[in-house]
Amino acid sequence: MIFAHGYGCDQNMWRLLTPAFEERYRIILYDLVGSGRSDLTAYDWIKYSTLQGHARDLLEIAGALSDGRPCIFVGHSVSAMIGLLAGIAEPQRFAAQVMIGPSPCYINEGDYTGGFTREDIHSLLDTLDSNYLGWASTMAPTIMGAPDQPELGRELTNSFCQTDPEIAKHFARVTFLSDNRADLPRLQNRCLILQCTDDIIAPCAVGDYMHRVLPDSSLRQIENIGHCPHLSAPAAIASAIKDFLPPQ
Amino acid sequence: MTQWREPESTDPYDAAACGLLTTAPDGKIRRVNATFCQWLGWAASELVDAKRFQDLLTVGSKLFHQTHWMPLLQLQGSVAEVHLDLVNRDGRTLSALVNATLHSAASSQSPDRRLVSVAVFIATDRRKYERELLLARRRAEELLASERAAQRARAFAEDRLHLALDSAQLHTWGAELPSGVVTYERRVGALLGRPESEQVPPDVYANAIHEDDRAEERAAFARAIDPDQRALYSTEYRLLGVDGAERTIRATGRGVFDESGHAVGFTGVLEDVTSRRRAEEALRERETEFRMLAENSPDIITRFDRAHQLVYLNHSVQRLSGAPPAAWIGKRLDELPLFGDVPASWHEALDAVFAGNEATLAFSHEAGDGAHLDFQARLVPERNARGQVMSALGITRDVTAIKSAEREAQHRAVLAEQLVGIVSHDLRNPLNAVLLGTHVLRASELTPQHARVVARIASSAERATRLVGDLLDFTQARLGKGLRVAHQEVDVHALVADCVEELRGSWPGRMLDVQQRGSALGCVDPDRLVQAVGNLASNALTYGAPDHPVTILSSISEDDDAIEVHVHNFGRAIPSDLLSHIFEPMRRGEQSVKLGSRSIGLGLYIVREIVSAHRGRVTVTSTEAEGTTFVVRLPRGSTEHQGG
Repeated sequence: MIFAHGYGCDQNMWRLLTPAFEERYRIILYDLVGSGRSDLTAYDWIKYSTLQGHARDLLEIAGALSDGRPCIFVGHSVSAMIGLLAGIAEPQRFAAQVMIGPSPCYINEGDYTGGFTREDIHSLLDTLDSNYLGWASTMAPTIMGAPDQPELGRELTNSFCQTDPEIAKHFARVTFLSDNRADLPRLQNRCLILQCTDDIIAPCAVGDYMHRVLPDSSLRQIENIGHCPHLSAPAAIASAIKDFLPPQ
Repeated sequence: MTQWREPESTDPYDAAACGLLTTAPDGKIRRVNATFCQWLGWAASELVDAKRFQDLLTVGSKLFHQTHWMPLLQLQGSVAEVHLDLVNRDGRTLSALVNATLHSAASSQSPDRRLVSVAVFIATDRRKYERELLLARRRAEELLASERAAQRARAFAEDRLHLALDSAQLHTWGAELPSGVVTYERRVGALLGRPESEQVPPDVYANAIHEDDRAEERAAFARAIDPDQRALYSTEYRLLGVDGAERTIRATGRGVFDESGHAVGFTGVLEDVTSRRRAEEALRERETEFRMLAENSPDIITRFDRAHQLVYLNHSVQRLSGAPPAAWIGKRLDELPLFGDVPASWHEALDAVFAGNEATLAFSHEAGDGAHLDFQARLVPERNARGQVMSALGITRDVTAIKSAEREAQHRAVLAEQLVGIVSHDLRNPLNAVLLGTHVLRASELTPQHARVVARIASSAERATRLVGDLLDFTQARLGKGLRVAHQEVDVHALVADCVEELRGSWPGRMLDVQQRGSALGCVDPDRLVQAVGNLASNALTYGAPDHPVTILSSISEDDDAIEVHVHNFGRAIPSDLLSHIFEPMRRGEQSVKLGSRSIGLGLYIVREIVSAHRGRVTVTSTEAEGTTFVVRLPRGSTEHQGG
């Protein structure tokens, strides 16, 4: 069972969810190249200028670690689209895909409502810039609290959400300006869409759209405000995924 | 700075100098202080339980809040100094720094009861400052990047230079001034016959310079670092290597001067030009040799380039024209008076030479005094090392004297031939009369004594007739244009057999063995072939062992289309010193043979001439054991083949 994190985070975001699957599955977590503790020197600006680059990485990981058996892929946000592209390229690698808060296109276009305009995305890049000073240079003092686990806190601070600001901006562009709507009908894998009831990044209308267009999909609403239900509502996510997966 | 107004409440929570909020984990506002409400322009009642914190953010900050802030808060329990943009009621953007802590409500550990404490600090000015800082940082990074690019470009240029120096086998050296510390590039050792990997100490190098060349090198160096001269350092010296080899080094370089004009250094390049100098020397020597030969040649020696322009001419031309070579060199062929009357054939010949061929031409020239001069010219291509024709070397010989001598000789030959012809012809008539007389006498009754005398007269007259015939042939072959032959198709075997039959009469008691091989027809002059075979067979009978047969074999080979006649005899071998020129005229065989049977030594010469006239060859082998064999080999030249 491979988990891939969404934009802005790293594999730590699965901390609350993976215990629910550890007994039944071999859990594989990884950081997208350019995020978390990945080797930043491996960040090929041309390869990763589309999500296909990340999809190739996913197929390599799946090929190397799955012993030839198909795996279950859980992708959050942008990684759901990475899974989509990988599943189209090599369907036999995946038994099923779980998409948490997916969106095939964040930009409004004609009848389609992605939730954002191009200006909004530039505004995000601006916010990234303004947090660049505080985050990149003085990460350590940002932590307050977690007094019971100071070591854990420190470790997280030094890794979680931390990356090269230029890569973060590049990845933000690739993520929020990509349009994978045309790819949706080509996915043969069985998949589950987990749609939060209140998510400004992936609104309900987007989840409905995906469910309509993906050939073999189930849609499950999760009572949750925000884009990271696996952090704020891990139990609901775990049970929804278990319901979806075939009994072993 | 945002205007700070005295808050209505004096409660420390409400009156805090920062915005304070308490929200549910999903962002729903549970409590908010007056300062925050004042900044945002909302009443507390409009916010509490009505809006979420993220609702108050710009879209970009909302995205950031969702993708970074929320996961961080969930996982770490706190975030600090996050820059977010808030939107107030009027739509104005407020830059703020936001801290937040997620903590459990005191009463319960249930996630539902967790609360988030948020502190908001206005950071508009700080934001401006940070933006400037960011810009400055960007600029610094750009500068750094361009500096790195420049460094890379420099390193690349340096690599390229080294590659160029290496491939050109150039070595660099330099001196620091005023300290005078000299350093040589590592590979300089090769110039001294030392391992390339060893650094060359400066004094070792300086001492290796040939004693006679040192002063000049030092002077050139001094001129180069003299601020007043700043001369280009360019010198050549011999370098004595530890391997005993003497190398010629070409050294170039220049001084380096600071702004105030003081020499601060020197940088130079060394090149081993030994082989180039040697090659130049060899070339010079060859050129000198050529000049020496050419200048002393009685012939006119010319060299034309591709444009048919005369680039060299030797002094012989002066004898002819009175003008020195310098007056001619540099002119194009069309402008040269010597060849003025025949430029077309010269152009043609030169074109042939530049196409890689040799050319000869003959031409005549009216000298200034009206004398008629004959010339023969031979032109050959001169090629460079790659085989390209670079120039055309011509040797022009004045053949006026030779030509006139030739004409004179020809004239004399005609006279001699005519003379011999007349004499021989005129001798034949009286000899015929003598022979006719002997026939008449033989028909009448003679005493035995008279009969012997008549027989002797007859045989002498016959020999004289043969001698006259040989003389006529000799004259024709030697002085004229060779023997004339008239080909016709004949049965060669029959012809040779008839010839042998005639000989039997003259050589009673001798064994003559005739053999024939192959088909019979061939195209020859029958009279001449009979004459040749007759001469060879007579020789074989004369010189061969009398108790052994003489064998005459005629053979026609279909394979190589040739007629061969072998004449073999046993007996003493022909001495080897005679064998090599046995076909020359007036060569006699063994002196011991009785004089009476000898002709004047023209027999084999005439055989060779007959064979030559048939475009054939005659050869001889002779050993004591195998005997002597003459082989005449003629092309078959039959009419059926010619007509074929």
